Amino acid sequence: MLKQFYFDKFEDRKPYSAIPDNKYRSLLFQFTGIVTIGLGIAYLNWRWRFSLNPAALWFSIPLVLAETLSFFSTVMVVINFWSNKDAEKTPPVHYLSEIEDLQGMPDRPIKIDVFIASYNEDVELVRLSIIDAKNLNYPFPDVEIKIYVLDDGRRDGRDPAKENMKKVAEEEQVNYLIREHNQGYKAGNLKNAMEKTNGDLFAILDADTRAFPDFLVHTTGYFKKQKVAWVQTPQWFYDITDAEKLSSIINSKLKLTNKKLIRLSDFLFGKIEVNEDIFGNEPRLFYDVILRKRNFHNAAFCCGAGSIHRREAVMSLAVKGFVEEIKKLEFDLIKKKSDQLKIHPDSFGDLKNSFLLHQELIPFKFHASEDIYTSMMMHADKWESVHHPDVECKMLSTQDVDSWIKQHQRYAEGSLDIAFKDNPLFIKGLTWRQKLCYFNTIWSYFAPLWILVFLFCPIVFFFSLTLPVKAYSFDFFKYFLPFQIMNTITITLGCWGISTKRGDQYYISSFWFMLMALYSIARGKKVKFNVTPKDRNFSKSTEHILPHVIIIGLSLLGVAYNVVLLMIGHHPAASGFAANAFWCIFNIISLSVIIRAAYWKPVETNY
Amino acid sequence: MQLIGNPLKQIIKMEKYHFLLKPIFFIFSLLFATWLVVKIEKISPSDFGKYESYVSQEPCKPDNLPANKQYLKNLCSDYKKGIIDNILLEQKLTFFLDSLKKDSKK
Repeated sequence: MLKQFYFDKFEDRKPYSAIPDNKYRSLLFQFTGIVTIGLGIAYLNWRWRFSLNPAALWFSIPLVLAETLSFFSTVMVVINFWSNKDAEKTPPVHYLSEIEDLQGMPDRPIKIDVFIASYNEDVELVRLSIIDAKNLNYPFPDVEIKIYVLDDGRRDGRDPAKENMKKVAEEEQVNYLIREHNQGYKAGNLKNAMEKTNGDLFAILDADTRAFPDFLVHTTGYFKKQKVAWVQTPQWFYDITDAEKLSSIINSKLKLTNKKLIRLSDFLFGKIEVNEDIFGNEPRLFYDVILRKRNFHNAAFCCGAGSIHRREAVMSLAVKGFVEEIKKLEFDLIKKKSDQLKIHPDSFGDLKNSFLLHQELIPFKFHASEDIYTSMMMHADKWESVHHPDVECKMLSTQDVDSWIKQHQRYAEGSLDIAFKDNPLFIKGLTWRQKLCYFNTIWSYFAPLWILVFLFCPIVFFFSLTLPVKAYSFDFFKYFLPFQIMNTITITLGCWGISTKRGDQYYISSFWFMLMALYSIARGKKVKFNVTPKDRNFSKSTEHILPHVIIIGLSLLGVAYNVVLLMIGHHPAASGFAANAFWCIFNIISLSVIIRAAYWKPVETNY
Repeated sequence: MQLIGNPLKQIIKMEKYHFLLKPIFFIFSLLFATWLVVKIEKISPSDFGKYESYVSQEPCKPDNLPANKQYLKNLCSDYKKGIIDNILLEQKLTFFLDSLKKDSKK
């Protein structure tokens, strides 16, 4: 009897279909993208040269600077979304010679390993992933498919306080691998597995990744192109929260028992649905648009779970890294330390051998963002990647604000750490398009810097009654409106078929956590690999939303103050109030989503 | 034709375009906000014309005709762009013409 989970009721959900490619839409996007960039340049030129309020440069300059930085994002989005170029789908691989140049070596059917990485997840949850992995189809019976549970939590029965992962693996008759430390986090866990296995291709699944039966059938064919190093499939979260009827929420919050009141509430609010994907977990915009369109630039990076890799590619990078590390150590020793250590030239050979013995082959970069970091290095090494557009596995999403923040802060800190330590713009081997795509990912984590300005501008206006522009003249709108409208049309075309509503809201409301990530990296704090919890935790969620509550509170207070000034006829800039009030409404709508998420509980548990 | 008679299918077909609601709403909000702000600005101008222009320069001597021409051009351009209003334009023109008169008398 399998354990019951909250997501059992979502088992029958079907994944989305990838948006069909349309070359006319791509052409239209390219046209509107170029027009948007042109209008943006004209707008910013006018803003910097003619619109600054000389009496309030302290206010004008931060805003126009924020607008300029935000415009860079628009330019990079246009480049990223420029075209769609899905890789050609081919039948699955049978023999090794189809994917590798054997150079006279005897041919044989390929070997595939399936790694299920686990750390502290519920063993019964991992069992579900194992069962689905065991059901993987492959049309050639002589192709060996081995499943491995990579347990980094050392749950082999030695600690009675922990669940027994080894037992579950044995019950399910799959291989169980363990190591005695957690060095390198997930990358270290994969390294350990690669040392003990020999598949020509290996798939990476997380503890909660449930592969569909045709996962391998649909993905291995890409490796017939011998430069393809990995194939990433979209991560589809099948437990995303459904829309709830507003009347049900009101009834449960007010604990209504009176039937007439319930009927009235149903009549008034029964048709209104809210809270759909309240945690903004829908990853379709990322996988079906951002990552998929990077196929065109050969810059689609690996996201870990749901990917399949060519061992040769990963190992070749590891060997190169190994050689470079040895050379570096040798160079350091000869050039810098020989005098101080007074080492005899004859003993250099011994020291070099000692380095060779102690240095390890590291297939995946030991980093909190090991996926993107390794992808970047593989691309720099001239390997190619494929983003497969169709969903081939299902996963669980974060189910509370704490976990959501933890997960997104790790992404942010990891990416920012790469920016400061190994900036893609300066990595040799990457094409300029790849550099721009990787930089775009990193740049997006700097967004809180300008989002903060956008959030505070209306508040500053409400209390200082100072305009950040000279005037809301016709000229302002002549430049501002065409740019904004064209920008909206361009983004809509780029993301055609996908609602960006929740994504936009979370882009703004995550400003505080991203700012904290930026601050922590700027201080040189080491990035920790936090494993994303796979269960629900509603207890501590409210502590993170204080900045959001403060900004919303100040905004509402400012509106009230300005309304009073208008009513008594003492408002010096009524048009400025109208403009900032609209702006403020958008800010409040965006920020409020995380507050709602923090207090969210499934309606049925409230009764 | 069958689709017209089946409201459920119609709803499903329309759901495909739900993603357009947000951008359409956003664009209409922008247009409405602009209309409102421009309307209010006409009724009750805010800080319009209060500040000095960065781009306009002081008038030159009468014998320096190209520079004066440029000054007048800048004034017109500032006025067109809304950087200065008609009151300030008049003030600057009066000052310019007076300074020309004074210089020619000398």
